[in-house]
Amino acid sequence: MSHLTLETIARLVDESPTAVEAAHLDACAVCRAEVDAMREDVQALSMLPDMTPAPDAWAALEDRLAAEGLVRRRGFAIPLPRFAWAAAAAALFLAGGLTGRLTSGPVQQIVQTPTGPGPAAGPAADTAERVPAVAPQLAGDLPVDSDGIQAGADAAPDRGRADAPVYAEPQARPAPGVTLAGNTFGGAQQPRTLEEAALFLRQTEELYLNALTRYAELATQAEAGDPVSRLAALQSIVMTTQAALSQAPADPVINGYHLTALAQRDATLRQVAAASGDRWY
Amino acid sequence: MTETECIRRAQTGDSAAARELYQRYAPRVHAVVRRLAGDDALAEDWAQEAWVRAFRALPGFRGDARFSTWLHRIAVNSALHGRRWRERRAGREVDMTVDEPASRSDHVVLRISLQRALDRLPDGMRQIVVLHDVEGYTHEEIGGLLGIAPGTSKSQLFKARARLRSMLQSGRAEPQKEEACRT
Repeated sequence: MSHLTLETIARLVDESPTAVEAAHLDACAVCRAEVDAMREDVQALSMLPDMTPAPDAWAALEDRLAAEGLVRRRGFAIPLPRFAWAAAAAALFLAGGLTGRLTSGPVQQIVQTPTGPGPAAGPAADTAERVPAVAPQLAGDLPVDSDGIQAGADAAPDRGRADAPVYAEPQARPAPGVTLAGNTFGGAQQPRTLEEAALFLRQTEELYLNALTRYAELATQAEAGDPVSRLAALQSIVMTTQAALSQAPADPVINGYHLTALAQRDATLRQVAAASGDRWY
Repeated sequence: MTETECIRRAQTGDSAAARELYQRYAPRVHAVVRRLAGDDALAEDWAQEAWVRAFRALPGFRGDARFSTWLHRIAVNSALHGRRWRERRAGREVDMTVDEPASRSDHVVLRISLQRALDRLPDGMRQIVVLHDVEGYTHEEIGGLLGIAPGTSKSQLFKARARLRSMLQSGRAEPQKEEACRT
């Protein structure tokens, strides 16, 4: 006696047997057992449990939803990978500190005072040389390398503005040109436990928010200020974002800031050059 | 927060509400997508795509259907779309190798064995089994989703069940004695 095919048995889970099939089933215990087993399989399929997605699936999804503007995050609690927070916070903090200083008198005088005849005499003097020459004074007379990155500089807390955000004094030096002020785990020290990492995250998040607020203030000032002050402010932002990019070259947020600052700085340079009528080239 | 409130807030872009919706339904979405994908890595991508599609469409959700039904349909469509996309890109069939024998000693083992066997079904068969036997779609609905006749869905389902049964019986790569046994 030949048995029913598996496909026939699979069909009999859902449908009634034909007369021939019913007669076969009556006589064949093997095929009856197969039908029962198939029914058990199908029932088990219908009761398969739900599955838990990967623990970090929401973070990845939220990043994408936020990028598309489908959700708004609360308090910028963006789950950046590893310690990208530190780089972002440091970069923006430095921007706040440096740019805060340049808006306070001396820097403005340095930039606006002609230093003598020749190509570097006017405010729109040699863009290739003059801006780096100003930079050390913006950042407290610290050396700047060929890329405009301030070497070994501690961030200058904003001492020139009474209404500026208050930052703690620097305690560590995570990387050349980037300082995490008031942060227990900035720099070479790394969190060793989950609790330390959480504390580090909270601290850097707070710094980030402060720095972002300051950035917004400065950006507003830069829009309204005179071109030379704006140029100095933009240059300090370019330096800061360059330093941050050395730590996180692929970070899209920092790249965005950097490119925007570069474009604005170059546009301002052209504006200053046109206004002075004293072309250096 | 009630589901309605959660949906209303998520429609305005509230991340906390969106997260709550996600937490409520992620296991369900992940399960259907994972089973249709037959692969963990693909499932992660497709599940994320399903959620992005859902949140894109959420402002248009008016509550005419249950949210879970609405979301489930989006998840299925996303997975089917992902599969079609993958086929266009790679043009390959899923490996049929079964590397561990299945046991029917209890239901837990059966579930695990079924899941493994499902993963090793050819894509077309797997999606019909998942849609019909796991998710409860009718052949008419499956035909509509896949662009095939209901009769085709039905015949493919029976072939797929037969192949699953063979895998569970033998624990080997190819279905055994399917042709030799019968009628």
